[in-house]
Amino acid sequence: MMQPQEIADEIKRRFDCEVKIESRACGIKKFERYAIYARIDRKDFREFIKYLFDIQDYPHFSCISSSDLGERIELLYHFTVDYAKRKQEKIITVCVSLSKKFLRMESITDLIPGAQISEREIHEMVGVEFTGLRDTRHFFLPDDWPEGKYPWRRDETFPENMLNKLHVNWKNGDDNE
Amino acid sequence: MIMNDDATFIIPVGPVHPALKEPIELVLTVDGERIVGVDVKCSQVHRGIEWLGMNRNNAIQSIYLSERVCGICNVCHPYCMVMAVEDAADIEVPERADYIRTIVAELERVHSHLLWAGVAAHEIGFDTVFHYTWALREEIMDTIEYVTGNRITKAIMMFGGVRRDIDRDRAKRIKKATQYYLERFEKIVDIFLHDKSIMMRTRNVGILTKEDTLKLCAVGPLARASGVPKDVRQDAPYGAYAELNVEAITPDMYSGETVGDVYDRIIVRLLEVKQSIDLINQALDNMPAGQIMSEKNYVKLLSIIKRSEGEGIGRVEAPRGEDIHYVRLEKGKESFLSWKIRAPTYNNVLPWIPMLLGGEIADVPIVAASTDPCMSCLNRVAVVDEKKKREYEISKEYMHDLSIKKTRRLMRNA
Repeated sequence: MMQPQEIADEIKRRFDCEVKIESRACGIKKFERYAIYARIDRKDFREFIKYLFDIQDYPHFSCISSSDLGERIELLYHFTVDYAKRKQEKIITVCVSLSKKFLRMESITDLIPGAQISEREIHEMVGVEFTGLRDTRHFFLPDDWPEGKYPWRRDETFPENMLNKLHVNWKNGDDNE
Repeated sequence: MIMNDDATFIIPVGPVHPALKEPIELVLTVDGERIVGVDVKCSQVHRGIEWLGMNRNNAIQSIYLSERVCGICNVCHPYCMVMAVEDAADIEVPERADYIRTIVAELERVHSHLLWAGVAAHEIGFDTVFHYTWALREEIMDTIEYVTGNRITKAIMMFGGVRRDIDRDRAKRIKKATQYYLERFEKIVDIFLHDKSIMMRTRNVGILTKEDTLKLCAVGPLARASGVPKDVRQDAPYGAYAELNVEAITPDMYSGETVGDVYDRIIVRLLEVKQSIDLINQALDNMPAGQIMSEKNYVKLLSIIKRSEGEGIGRVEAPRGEDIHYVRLEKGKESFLSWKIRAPTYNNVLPWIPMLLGGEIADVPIVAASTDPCMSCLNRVAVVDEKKKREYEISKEYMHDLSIKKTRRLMRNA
């Protein structure tokens, strides 16, 4: 069983990236649980996922989070390894930063079929294209959602006109009374 | 119902379901009674909760918003979210608060599993058991109300602790409830696991293999019933779980084998009710004295969060499986820079496909319900017969009727 620090060292050895380990203690005995964050280059992404398979046969994929950082969008893939073992599980988060001019990622659905819904979600909410993702239909947004509008972005692609601004509506209502 | 060229039919199941919680649409391709294709569509109730937390609300308001992600899991979502923020802003949690959080989370699991057991009985047309189980559930709901002040949306979580203490009087009330369930546990097990008709409708129905579980990243009782002993409380303990005796429950503990069918999911959930009762008792007995909040002043708390920069992940074993929240904080911002919620049903939707393939239409309600989905949708089925150019509906009632008939048929032939 690899310790969190060993995993972090191994990631650093294999990939040119920034790795941080965060730990958090809980309860009376202050048991610590670990989260490993690796900020890697997009070209290493596929290799990184394959490395996770080296740690455990089926790394557990949780979900993809995203942050809009202005010029760039950061995608965070949350995995856990060493699950189903008492007090051994670690969260490994792989972060990839993408330029808004080139929002394209490789799909991991061929390796982890369970990632399908997450990729479809990021595709519709953030506008990232996944190469190799066969099913690109909307999952959470309705089928008639306007094209090129992404609700989780903080730029001009955010559908501002679709917001229901109650304070505006209420004011109008007050005038009519 | 739309007829395809190869004489199969397409049946849309859902999305509108006024009787249960959330809508979802299942598109089934059937060949006679057999299901040969399954597609799942969500998108009816995306309420943009994450967006509100990232744009409209401040961090403390978002706690109460996150309780409203799901009416049943109204402890695990805020629990996850406060854990992520505590990670990001480096806020300490007093030991007593860890224990109180654990107790409230386990109370929630008991009520959720009993609620599910009732729904499952109803889906196979066994309404006596449905009413019996839900009547039993009232005891835990009353206890939750006594302890937190509310039956649902308990509003007990806060960054760096909990808002209400479990004093001697409340602890006594909880003990009374755990005693109540311990006394009746044998009877519940007898009803669900030894009844002939439940056995017939659930054994070898909706099987999910271990390999599919791992590939599709299923979580919670669904994964455990297929022989993957994955449980956040055991694997990466939070709160007081590291000090309590938590072991992931798999069906072979009871029956000596793992089939991965609906019956196994019933075993896992029922044993988890007993496990939760034990955990509550252990936690009550070992609960340390002390503070329940590290910072009582909300204005100060909010300014700590506003000054912080960082990211955090919160993971909790919800009644339906692993729940995970990711939060990123930015300096000078009262709301989150990013907030991602991943509820367990999210990962448990794709496994419906292998579970339903090859099954019968009459089994759809119980198989779908066996994952304990946080969205149920089997009410209105529009059937369009293209050949005869006629349109009619299969209602929830009709499907329920089909399900009852199947139970009777099996009973006659048994």
